[in-house]
Amino acid sequence: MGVDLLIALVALHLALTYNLVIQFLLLLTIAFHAALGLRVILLDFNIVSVKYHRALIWALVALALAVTVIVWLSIY
Amino acid sequence: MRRNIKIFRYAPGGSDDGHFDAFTLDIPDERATTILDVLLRIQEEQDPTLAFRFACRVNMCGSCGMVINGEEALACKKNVAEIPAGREITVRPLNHFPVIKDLVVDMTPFFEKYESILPFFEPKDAYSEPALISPESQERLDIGSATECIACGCCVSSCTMAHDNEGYAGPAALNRAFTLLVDSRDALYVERLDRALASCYNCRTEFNCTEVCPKGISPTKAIKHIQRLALTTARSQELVSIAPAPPVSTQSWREAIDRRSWITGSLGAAAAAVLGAIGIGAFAGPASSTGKPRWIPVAALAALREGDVTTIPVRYDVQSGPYVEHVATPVMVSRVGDEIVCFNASCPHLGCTVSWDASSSRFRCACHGGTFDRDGAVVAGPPPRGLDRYRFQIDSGRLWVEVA
Repeated sequence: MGVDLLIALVALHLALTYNLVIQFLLLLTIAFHAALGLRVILLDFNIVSVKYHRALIWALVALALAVTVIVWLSIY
Repeated sequence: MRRNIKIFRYAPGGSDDGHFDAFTLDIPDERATTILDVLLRIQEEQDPTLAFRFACRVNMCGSCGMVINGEEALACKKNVAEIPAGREITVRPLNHFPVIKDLVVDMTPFFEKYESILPFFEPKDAYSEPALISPESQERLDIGSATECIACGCCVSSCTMAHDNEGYAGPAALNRAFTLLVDSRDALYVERLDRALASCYNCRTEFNCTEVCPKGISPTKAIKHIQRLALTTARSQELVSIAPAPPVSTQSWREAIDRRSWITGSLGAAAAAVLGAIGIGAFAGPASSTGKPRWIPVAALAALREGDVTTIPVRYDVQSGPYVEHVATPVMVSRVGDEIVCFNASCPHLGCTVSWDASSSRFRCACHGGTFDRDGAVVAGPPPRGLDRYRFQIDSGRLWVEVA
């Protein structure tokens, strides 16, 4: 389902390239994807203990949201 | 309290691929009743053909692993009181295992993968006395409770990667490999690490195995430790060859994903957001690139030559989201008496600019020889259709054309 959602979003982005809503959703998706990638790196290298994997998800999602807002405001 | 229980039923050679049977049971003390007790009572009181596996009844043997309300658990450990009152109890066999009958699964694939990582201890030296490992030693602390695994299969059932990746040993096997790899007495370090590394990169760090383990072990932690061992070993030895991970095929979603309801919730919210965006884009909010036609001034009516075609350059801006496109295009205006026609100068063939040739009274495209008559119809050349026309209006003595 997640993959389908991503494909749908990319298709929407291609169809409505300059639609601000789609652009924002795409930025949000990229930030979320990056946050999960960061999560895996932090856990892989034991920088964060696996005990805190749940808290790490929420912390990184919050970070992703903050980065999304900052990037969005810096562009527009 | 009366409870409704749905149990997966399957009989080899039966008429279907499995179905759920519903039972109702009065359970006087839910806090003192396990799911295994429920199954035993149903078997005793209602359906003696119900098949399930159990042995120790005290969370030690791992025989009664099954999926209870969407989450893997030991039937002898899961208490009825843990399931909210009024909620139906659903019991089905472990995922990813061939079902033999009802709740009994074939553990052969599990133990085949288990064996693949050399799950036995091979000592480096012969010991006449038990080896002493201090509880405070780093290796013992690293191993932690990982040795408590009872091979119930719950972790493999919960893993979304184990089923579709033949080369993936799975969380239980890798957890076992971890306990031996960290053991300094182990003589099969390189061979075991080689095998573990060949499969442990299929782990997607979903923590499903950790969430469901009835013994509180974290196979994910074990797998991460093995991955880090690859780095430290690669530095000190040249013996380790990391086999390529087998290709990942499309994974199938498990039937019940209650445990990961937060994921589905997130995806649902994202889906709603996308659908909302479509709705907003389509109905409520305009796209950044409006695409709405607008009127652009071309020239004063007096500037258009009577009986001739006048080519007038027009400039305007197109706003596309944050970007502005500056458009400059000629508009060809034919005026005969009161009849005015505004032609788009873009050739319908490949978009070259068409010009008016007064000597032949033809529009001509220099690129491929497209020729159009005074009405814009194709006379010669490759253009598939006549010249496009602008809608126009005359307002206060000026000619305006409509552009998108």
